[in-house]
Amino acid sequence: MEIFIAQLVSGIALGSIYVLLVTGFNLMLLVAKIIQFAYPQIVVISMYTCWGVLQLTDNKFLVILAGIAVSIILNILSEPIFRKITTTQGVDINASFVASMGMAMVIMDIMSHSINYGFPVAFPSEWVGGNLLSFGLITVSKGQLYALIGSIIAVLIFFYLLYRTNQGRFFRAIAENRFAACLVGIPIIKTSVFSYFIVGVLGGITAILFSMLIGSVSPWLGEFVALKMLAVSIVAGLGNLKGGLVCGLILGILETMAMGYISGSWSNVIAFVVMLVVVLIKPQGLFGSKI
Amino acid sequence: MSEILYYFLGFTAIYILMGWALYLPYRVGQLHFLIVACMAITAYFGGFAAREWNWPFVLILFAGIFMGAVIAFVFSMAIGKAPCFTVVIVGLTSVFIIKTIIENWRLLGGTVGFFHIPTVNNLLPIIYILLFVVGFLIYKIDHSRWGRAASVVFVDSEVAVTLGVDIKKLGMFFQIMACAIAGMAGILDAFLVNSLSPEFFTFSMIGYLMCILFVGGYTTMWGIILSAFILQGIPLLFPSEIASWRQVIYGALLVIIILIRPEGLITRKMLWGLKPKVSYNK
Amino acid sequence: MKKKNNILKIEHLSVAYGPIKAVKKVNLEVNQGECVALIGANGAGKTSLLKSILGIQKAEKGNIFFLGNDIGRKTTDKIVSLGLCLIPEGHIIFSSMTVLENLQLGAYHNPSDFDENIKRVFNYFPILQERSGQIAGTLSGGEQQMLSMGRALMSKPKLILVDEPSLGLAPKIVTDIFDIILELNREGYSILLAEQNAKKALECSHRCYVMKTGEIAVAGFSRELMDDPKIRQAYLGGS
Repeated sequence: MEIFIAQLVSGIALGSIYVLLVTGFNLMLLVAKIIQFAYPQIVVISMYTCWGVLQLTDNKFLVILAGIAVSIILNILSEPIFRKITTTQGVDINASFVASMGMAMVIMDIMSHSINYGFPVAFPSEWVGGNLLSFGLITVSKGQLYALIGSIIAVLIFFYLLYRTNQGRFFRAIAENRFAACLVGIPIIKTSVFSYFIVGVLGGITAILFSMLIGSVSPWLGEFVALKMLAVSIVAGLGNLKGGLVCGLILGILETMAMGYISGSWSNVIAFVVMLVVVLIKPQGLFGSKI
Repeated sequence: MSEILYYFLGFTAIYILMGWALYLPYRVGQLHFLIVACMAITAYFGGFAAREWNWPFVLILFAGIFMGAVIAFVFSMAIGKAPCFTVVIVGLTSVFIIKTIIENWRLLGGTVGFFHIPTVNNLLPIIYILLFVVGFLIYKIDHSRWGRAASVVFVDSEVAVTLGVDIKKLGMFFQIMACAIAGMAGILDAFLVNSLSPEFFTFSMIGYLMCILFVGGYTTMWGIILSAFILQGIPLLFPSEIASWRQVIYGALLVIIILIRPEGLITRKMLWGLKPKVSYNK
Repeated sequence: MKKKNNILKIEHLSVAYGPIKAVKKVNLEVNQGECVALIGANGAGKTSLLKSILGIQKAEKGNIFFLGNDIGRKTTDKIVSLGLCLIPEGHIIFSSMTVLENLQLGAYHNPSDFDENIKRVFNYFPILQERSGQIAGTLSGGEQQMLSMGRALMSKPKLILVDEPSLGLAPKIVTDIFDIILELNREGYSILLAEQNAKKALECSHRCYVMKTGEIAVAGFSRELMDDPKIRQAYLGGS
């Protein structure tokens, strides 16, 4: 029974990271009207940055700042590319998908080449935090708890920002009807860049919490996580923030439960098969697409 | 013939086939990455059937095409009409699932690889004959009512429906053709290199195929021939250190081409220029 | 003679979309308190002209002065903050947001007088107050047009550009909309009105410019143009 609870807590912690990732992805989709395939890769590179800075200094605050900064910079750098695409081809989600896929390839390959010859790197144990609960081989680390609490807070803040503040309304206005937003006098470019900034912050926070959760980074982590995040977003319904919340958590729990009872790679496959079946039955997603 | 030239010609042909396989469903706006999963399945099947059961090449070839078509048919019942993003995710997850299955199945060599697939005589000429046959077929499809219907669906699927186009059937048609071609490509790949590895059928191949399709030009079948030759050939001219950064170059190319020339190298305008001018004077 | 207070002055304006010249050397002005009509057929260049005033479409040549400021180079949000606004054709609103949120967005540049402004808007359009919590996409065509106009009014503009307000609306609603335009003008708003419906436009404006393939073909006082047989023939469908 305790094992079950421990797995459940781990599952929720992992699930909450997926929720963060999907939320960032959906935000880009809803506000900037783009599919940012490279978003998980940016998160992974932020994780690498955190690791790198952690090698140089013990100052946790500096590490967090560095991670968030890298995420913000990369996101904002991608803004002009996406802006050019959306104006030349109207609202073309396909074009942004192709371009972002290219970006993802670039980032991923740079990571495999440059850091540690493409092998995984581990975070120092004090970052991850010691074990909180342990039942034999099954443990729940402090890192997982941080990840869980951190994610909940982050998601709540961003939902609030988007739906209850003026700035959030401007984001939604631009996302919905660029021309009308222009007429109302919203400075399109400034606000767009700001939305990339916000998603950058979210990405940085995701990276930090994720690194606390799993304690290591590898270049293909981006690939794995990207696929899971995309699958969650489609199963939940594109652009559906609340659906993403539910499905992300379910995936996290499903995966961790499977990992507890079946060996490593098969648990991944099971998660994907389940998602594949759901998508085939309901191509619009379980909760309906919002775009 | 030198080995380098042999493999260059062989692989380029296979990538042209796969490029066409990606091109067909994209005529209706779907990026059908399932083709890579089909290619993996038929490649391993073909290699296994040749090595363990001694099936003749022709039988394996037709079996591969048939398998590809059947797999596509089953999936297309669900995603024939689905939005592009859904099709993409289905394709990506399938590729991942197949890759994991292969890696964990000792019978297929797992992560180490599958070796000693028997050779086929005159494989290169056979590959090119098949290439011409498929190319001819695609040309015919492009210039048939299906091709024209696809063009309408690509631009505005709602208008297409009002014109009487059955979008699901059209989507299914293109997906099945694509995976049949991919099935063929898988078989040919197995016999070209006489060995297989799960590392080959992965996201890097998807990225590479995207590059071929978008750099060449997604509105026509000819651009793919051009870009396959270029993208296969150029790396041969560079020293191997740069070659290891291939993924970065392909990714960058993809972003650059979408920015500066979204229709690709060979565009519709170019093709219209080549057509004989219509004159209304008698 | 009363000194005319010039609000908008356009000199030799040319707007082109690549090789297509949409607006050719147009001279136009609007004075304080006037309602000026811009009539012409579809494709005459009216919308392009309005868009270039707002900076959405950059002009090739020429000058635009608003309240004495040269706004030719300014970005749209700067121009809107100076007191210029456009009610575009096709009642463009934010359909997934509520009526209230739409109006709140209209007040982007003028958040301080919000309560006063919204009371005024609800005065003109009581139906919007009734439906203030409703999702804008569920309103009828005429109501959406009112919302579009209300949104523009929230910024307390000095000059209102209106593009084809009657497009796609039933005749009764068209009459209502033009009554509101007249009302607004009486309250002191200066208006530049682009319309295909020449009769209605001439009835509610002081002066009028007739646009044809990008150029100003005729300009004058609306009353005189209405009585001009040539104009009646070409734009008002005969005697």
